[in-house]
Amino acid sequence: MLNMTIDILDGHVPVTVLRLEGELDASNYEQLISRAEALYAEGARNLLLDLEKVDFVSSSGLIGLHSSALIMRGETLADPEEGWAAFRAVSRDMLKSKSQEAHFKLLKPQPIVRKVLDTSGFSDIMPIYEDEQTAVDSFE
Amino acid sequence: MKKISLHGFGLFSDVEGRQEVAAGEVIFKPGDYADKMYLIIEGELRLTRGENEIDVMEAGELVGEMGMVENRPRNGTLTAVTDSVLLPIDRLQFAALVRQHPGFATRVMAIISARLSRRTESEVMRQSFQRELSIGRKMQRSLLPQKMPQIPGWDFAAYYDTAWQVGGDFYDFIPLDEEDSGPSQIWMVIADVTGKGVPAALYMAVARTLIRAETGKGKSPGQVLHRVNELILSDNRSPLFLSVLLAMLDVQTGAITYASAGHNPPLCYRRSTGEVEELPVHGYLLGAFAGVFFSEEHAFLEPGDTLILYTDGVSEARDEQGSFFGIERLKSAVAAAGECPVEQMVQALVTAVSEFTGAIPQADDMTIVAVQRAQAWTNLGDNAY
Repeated sequence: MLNMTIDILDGHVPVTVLRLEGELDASNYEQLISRAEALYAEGARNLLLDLEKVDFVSSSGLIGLHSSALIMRGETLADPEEGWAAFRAVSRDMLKSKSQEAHFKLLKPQPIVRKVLDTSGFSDIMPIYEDEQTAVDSFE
Repeated sequence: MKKISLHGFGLFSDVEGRQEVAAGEVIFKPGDYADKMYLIIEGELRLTRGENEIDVMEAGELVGEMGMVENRPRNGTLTAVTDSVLLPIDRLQFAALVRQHPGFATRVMAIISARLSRRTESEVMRQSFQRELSIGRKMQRSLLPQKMPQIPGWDFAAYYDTAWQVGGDFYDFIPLDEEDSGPSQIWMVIADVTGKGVPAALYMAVARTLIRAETGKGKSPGQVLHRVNELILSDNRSPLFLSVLLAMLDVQTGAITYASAGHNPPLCYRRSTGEVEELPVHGYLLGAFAGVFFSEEHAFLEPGDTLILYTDGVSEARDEQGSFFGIERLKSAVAAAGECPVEQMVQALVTAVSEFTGAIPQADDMTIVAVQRAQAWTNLGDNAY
């Protein structure tokens, strides 16, 4: 079960905060991707994913995070072939990006989720914040 | 296959009592008394048995006639897919229609016959799919080690089970032989492709081959993972991730060098203290990020120690309340079976998981691989004097 709510906050730029509640796994990671696509289509360019109420992220859930990050970089995932080619190029960029250049960031993962992010290397690639205001202000 | 319809037959002007049903409404369920059949005037209905769909029927078709004619309770569930209009026809009305319109009986028989052959065809397809899948399962199993490595001083054990017919987990042992004197190193691989079923199984076969091809003398686990990651990213067509734990064991010294690509931390049972260590891991899921490097860690197995590798199907198995088996329960199970020979230890872990999950069906592939350093060598040394 995954609930999603949205707040738009003003930092240096408008930041969409997507708050998740529940477990992010194989049964619902595609919902997260669709929501990220819809938000991007509506004009959102900076996404902060609030994980405070997420109790569990499975490996499929990581695909959800990864795809959402790509979407916020302007990549279209509709065509798997093209999506993957773009994804490779983007994932190299992601490594080089400085935190303030990232368009997709994570907020307050619980220790159990933080462990999954650390084990999978995601916490090296995606900026993680513990304080919401600091996170919102970090988008430029 | 063409469906035969009673539409335009013009027989039903004298049958009263059209019944409107809303989408989602259940018209009958197993055990209900079958006192009538239905002609579908408008809409679409679905007949299911358990979780299997038997048929979807639309306007002009009859449904429920078998139970009525054979005078037995319903054995399926009939649900309206769309808002529908039905005309119920009971036994007496049916008998009257057959008497008054000789062509009616023949048309009903044609409908039943067409439906039977349609259902038989889908059953044949289902069986053929099952056969293919079962061949796939055998082929996949043949990619796993057929027997445990035989190396003096070391005992190996493994458990592998898929949630579906085929799965995305795999494990492997790759011994590197010296020219004359048996293996000096053995590489242990455990991996988990994200997702389940056929796509994961196909990807598993590719990943296994890549890892085998890249492993060799003079390479280290971190180098192999880096190279495999680059190969996957250069040739991948679909967004699948793969977690791998790659451990290189020096069978002369007991030294282990390992690297993790987003995989669960291995556990190490220490015979001398009875404690279970969670070995540190840090590394990227394969297929996710290009250009990344994998750090290596080192551990050492003393005589009597056991190293346990596992996939998240073990730690993330759930009980009826939805709680995870978790790493702490796994560590306790390892500690409880720590003194057992390695094969029994692996079996004890599997039993602990299945006692925890109870009646909940296995949701993910589950793999455990363990290696135990024999104790006999030091005992022999002590007794030598």
